[in-house]
Amino acid sequence: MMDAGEYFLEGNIACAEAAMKAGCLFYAGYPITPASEVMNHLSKELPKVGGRFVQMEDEIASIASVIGSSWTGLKSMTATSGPGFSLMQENLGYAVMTETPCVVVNVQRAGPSTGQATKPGTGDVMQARFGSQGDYEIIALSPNSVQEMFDLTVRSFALSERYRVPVILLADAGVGHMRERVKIPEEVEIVDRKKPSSGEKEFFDTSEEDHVPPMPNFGEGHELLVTGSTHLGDGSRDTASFSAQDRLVRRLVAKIEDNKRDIEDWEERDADAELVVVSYGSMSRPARGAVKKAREKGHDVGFFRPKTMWPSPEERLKEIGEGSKVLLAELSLRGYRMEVERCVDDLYVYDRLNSLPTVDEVYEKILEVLR
Amino acid sequence: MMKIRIGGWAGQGTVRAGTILGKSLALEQGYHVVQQRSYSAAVRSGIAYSDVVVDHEGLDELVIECPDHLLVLYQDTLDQWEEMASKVEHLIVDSSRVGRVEKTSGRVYKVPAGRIAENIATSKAANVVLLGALAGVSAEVDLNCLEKTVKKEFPEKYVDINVEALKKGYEAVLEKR
Repeated sequence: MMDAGEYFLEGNIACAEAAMKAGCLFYAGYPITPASEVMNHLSKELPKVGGRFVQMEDEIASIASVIGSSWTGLKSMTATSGPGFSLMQENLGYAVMTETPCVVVNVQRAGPSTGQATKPGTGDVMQARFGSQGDYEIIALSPNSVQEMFDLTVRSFALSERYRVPVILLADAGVGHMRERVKIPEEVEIVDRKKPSSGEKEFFDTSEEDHVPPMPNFGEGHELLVTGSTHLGDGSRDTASFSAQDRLVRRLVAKIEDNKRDIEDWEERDADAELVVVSYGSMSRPARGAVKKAREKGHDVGFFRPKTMWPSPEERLKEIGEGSKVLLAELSLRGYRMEVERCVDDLYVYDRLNSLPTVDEVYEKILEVLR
Repeated sequence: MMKIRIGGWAGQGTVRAGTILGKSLALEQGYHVVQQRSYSAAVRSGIAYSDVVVDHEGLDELVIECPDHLLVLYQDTLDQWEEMASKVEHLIVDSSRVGRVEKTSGRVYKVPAGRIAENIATSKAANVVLLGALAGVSAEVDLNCLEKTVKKEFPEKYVDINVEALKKGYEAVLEKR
């Protein structure tokens, strides 16, 4: 693990270093471009800090292993991209249902299917939110720099432990494979999951306001049942009754929805302008550069960048959409579009595939919308 | 803002060279630097290149449409970039592998990087020879800082070879200036 200081790092390496700094002690994964560097780095470094690294036979086994290790009390992570993220969907739902803290890094590439392995894309935004079956809410964060690959990885662990939910670091090849200066701090915010007291029996229900029940480890002496089937507060299966399904699923959703203020985060600048450019991930860099250029040329243009994709900052988007035209700039055709569309009336889109644009290319689009 | 592209065929160390250059400019010289790489989904084939964008302040320009300095290690790569190459300020080619250079508006430096590197130890160090040449061409790229970075970046047994490669590349360009 690197000491505190300034480095020139690739985004994926910054992510791996942040995981160790945040206390991650277990990684299971299967290599895939453009996420492999996370795994490669942790395979060498994680054992040195007392952690375990396992290369699994595929991505289904990888996330299953991560879920298992989380139930032994370890902060756990995997990293993947497109096809691997698709394979993880069923167990991602299992992690949601069993309220298992874990971090899943998806360094998105151009899809669908195998697509273009080395090229960036952000077509998995909706999959991150809706990819597994049934009703649920999840947390997904979107970094746009190497520094944020570090910072938001740390935050992913904190949120997953705080809310007992899988958190997806929704990166893309643009930031994963980018190198920049990054500051590794002495200390980062570390959150540990709520633990039960010795007599407690309810690990899957709570009357607490935050909706987060305490989580024991296997082997600590508690009677512990963990199932992806609908269950009661003590973990016992109830696959038939109305009340069990209603109480559990409503709480899983409320756990994220009612704590939204604590979770959601964004960057904004002049968001009351005539035109506000909404962008995220690596694409938001040239988009932000274009907004800066437009303002320097005297145009009334603002900028809004969700760092939390899910839960989406929908109230803020709606406020912006009430007073301003919105230009969504993204590295996909269907990435975040439906979410922004439902919040904003006057929407324009700069969608792009395969590669990032220059600042001037986004700037031209801004001028076109203003005309 | 300064934009540098180092291009060649996958396996020639273009990304490695871009990383050394980026690290040197960012950590030794204090610039804001974004370095990107591009390669195809193949083990050792196709064009591979590394882009380094440098500025005094925070950077949001990640993409290079036309670099100020273009370093090329392979003929096929240069052929495919003919139009871009005709517009750059400085074109530095490894003349051991790039024999044909079309007319350009900027200045062309033909440095036999592969042969120079081979004379030192191995032609694999051609990428670093071209970095030395860049330091000779660009006022912003400092040779001493590159040397410091090379010393940190390579395993000990390869440090001398690469420091020598840097210096020889630098000298090769000075003779032509």
